[in-house]
Amino acid sequence: MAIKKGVPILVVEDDEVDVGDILRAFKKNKITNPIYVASNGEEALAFLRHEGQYSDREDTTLPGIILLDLNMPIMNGIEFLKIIKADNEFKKIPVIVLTTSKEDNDRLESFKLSVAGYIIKPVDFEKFVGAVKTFELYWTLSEML
Amino acid sequence: MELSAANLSPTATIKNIEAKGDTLDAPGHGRREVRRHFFTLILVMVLLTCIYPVLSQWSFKGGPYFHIAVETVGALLGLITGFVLAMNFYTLVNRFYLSVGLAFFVSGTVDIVHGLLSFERVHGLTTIPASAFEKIIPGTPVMGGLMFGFLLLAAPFAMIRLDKAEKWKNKIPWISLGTVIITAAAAVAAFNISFPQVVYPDFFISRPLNLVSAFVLAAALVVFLREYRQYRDMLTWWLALSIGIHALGQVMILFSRDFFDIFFHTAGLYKVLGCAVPLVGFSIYRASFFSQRLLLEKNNRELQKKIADINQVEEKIQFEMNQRKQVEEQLKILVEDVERTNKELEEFAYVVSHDLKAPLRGINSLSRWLYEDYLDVLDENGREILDKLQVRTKRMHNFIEGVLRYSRIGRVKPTPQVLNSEEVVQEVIDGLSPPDNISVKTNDTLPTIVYDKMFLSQLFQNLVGNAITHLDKPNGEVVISGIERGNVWEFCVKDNGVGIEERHFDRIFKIFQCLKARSEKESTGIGLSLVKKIIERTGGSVWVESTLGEGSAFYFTIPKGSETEVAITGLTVLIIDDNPDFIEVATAMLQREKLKVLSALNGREAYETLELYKDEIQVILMDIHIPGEDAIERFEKIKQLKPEVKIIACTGVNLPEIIDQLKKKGLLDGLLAKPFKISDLSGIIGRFQ
Repeated sequence: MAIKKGVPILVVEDDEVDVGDILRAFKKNKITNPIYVASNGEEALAFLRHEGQYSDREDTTLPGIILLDLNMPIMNGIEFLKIIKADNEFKKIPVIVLTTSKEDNDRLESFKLSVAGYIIKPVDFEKFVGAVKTFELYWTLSEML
Repeated sequence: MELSAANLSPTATIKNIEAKGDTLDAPGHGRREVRRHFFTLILVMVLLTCIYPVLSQWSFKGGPYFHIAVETVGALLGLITGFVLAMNFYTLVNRFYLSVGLAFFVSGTVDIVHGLLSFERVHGLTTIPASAFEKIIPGTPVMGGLMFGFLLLAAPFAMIRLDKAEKWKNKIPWISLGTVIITAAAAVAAFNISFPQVVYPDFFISRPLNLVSAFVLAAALVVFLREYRQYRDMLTWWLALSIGIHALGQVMILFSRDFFDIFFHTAGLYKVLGCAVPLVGFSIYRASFFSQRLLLEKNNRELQKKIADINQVEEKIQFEMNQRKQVEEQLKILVEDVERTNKELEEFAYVVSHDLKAPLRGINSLSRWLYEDYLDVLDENGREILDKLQVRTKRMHNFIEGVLRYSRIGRVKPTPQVLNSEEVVQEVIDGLSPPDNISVKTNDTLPTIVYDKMFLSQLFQNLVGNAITHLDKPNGEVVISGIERGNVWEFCVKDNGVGIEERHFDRIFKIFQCLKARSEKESTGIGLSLVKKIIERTGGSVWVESTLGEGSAFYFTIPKGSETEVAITGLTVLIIDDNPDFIEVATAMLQREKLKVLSALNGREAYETLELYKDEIQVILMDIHIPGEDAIERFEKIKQLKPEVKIIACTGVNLPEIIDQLKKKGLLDGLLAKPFKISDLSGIIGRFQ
């Protein structure tokens, strides 16, 4: 599948190896969209709001998709999710949750907050596509071509 | 100490005393006694009257000295009686007696004067003119008799009026003294006053004033008999008798035609008798009074002793209650501790597994990257090393999952549901993805059972997975079957794999036990112990039959009773028990099973609650013994209020007679012994459906 060029992807994940999996997956499949990595909810919010370390970012487009890990320090995934879903701008961005196992209680929590899907770690591209496909983001993203 | 309820009650003791009609005055003074005494009195009077015909035959004529002697004795007795009765006023604080005593005293005094005057006349010692004498001498006893009669009549009124008027209470001694003085003065004045004529020998009724006396005394007699009937005071009866005899005496003298004739003397004798009677009565009265007091004291002592016994028993009960309460409080704390520990363990297990798995995942990924990025640089050896690395991380991952699952078995509450075991097995097989050379199938259709889905899934996952893993033949066959056998479901997972030696049959179910080196067969060693733990948790059994080299068959059973456990979720239960602590714990237990619980502490609350929530309450858990209530009535009333409700009697004490009665009347739908397990309760409820 093709993703519209230039649409940034925000990855909120603190484990560097997990991040590495994601980056490798996209690289292997020639996805060239800019990928931003925030290591916790606070950083991710700063990114979205162009504050702090991201205040001088040139590209101000909002990410087309957020990959969100639930288990992070300082501000975890659920808290971050609640905040962005309460924001009129941010709640439009589809969020895919990264989870460690099927039995995670957090997964149920996140569904209550209307996320677009979930991927079981470690992330590989197939899983990514699968998650996206299921919720018709394929169409949305491919339209953005 | 053996104390039966019957003899413990102080109320019973008091009732006993009342029933016997014990009063302060006489033993057993019931209505029959009163009537008996009435008749006795009438009999005596009739007897004394019947002497008349005898007397009229007797032409006795005694001398004046005889008469004086009789009169004096009578007078003295009258004085003594008056004194004794008036004194009684102080001990019994009954002003009735004061008035009566005064009556006798006055009468006695007048008679003494009469006697003295007569004596003087007889001996000719006098300063009073003879004509006055003629009138005074007969006049004095008549006056005395009249005053006697009127004072007696006044007695009951004196009691009432003086009692009610507070200000008179302190003046009574003065009134008494005044009366005495007036009487004495009157007596003395009699010497100088011209007395009216009292004797009319020519008339038919020669002594009319005596007739008046007789009537007054008769009236007094009636009054006294009424007093006696009301208050049942024996002394009053004696006084009534005395008055009656006095009255008769007054009647007797009416028949006297001549001085000192038989009627004359008889009248005097009756007066003596009339004054002696109260003294006798009073002595008897005091004696019975005394004996009654002894009886009362004895009863009192017994009562005190019983009260002391009751207090002791009460203290004991209170003590035991406190003990029990302490134990219950302790238990509550223990339960809280256990629940908290459970929760902590669950959290701990989650965190541990999470934090153990994360770096594992990292190691796996990193080795994979190594593999992918440096594939061309790696030689055979290098690749093998990376393989082994990946295998071991996977092994560790599975191990952690296995341990986590194992520990959960104990903590998780199984939620039974109706399951198509065929479907569950198919899911498991799909999940395991057996290789092409191994066929995994079910033998006939597997039954529909009631069980926890996750448990069943894990059972088959482990057994079928093991079977697949341990297949060494080119064409592996795994057959799963399940049949009904008595009151259990028996499942079997059979394979034609490597088989197991008999001596290992027990060991393989132990945790972390493997029969081959880890590197040969990927096995965590947890699988079978997990199976065993699940089976034990749900009350079944598991065993293996195997021949080395040919294959193994693993059997496990699921008890059928668990079918009934489904029904209880979602029910509304009403618990009726007088012990609030039991209600608290039972409510917590039932709420964990997702039951809605209402409670009542006694019959009345139960009826109210049942009225309010009539449509919701389906099951009632009721204690049989609630103090102060009739159990059978309660059961009946509840069945009346809602006939469809199911009543389960819950009891810690064995009450076979009541239970029998309840069963006979169809009021009992189930019986639970305290303390009860949820499985017992759900078993009973299951039978209702």
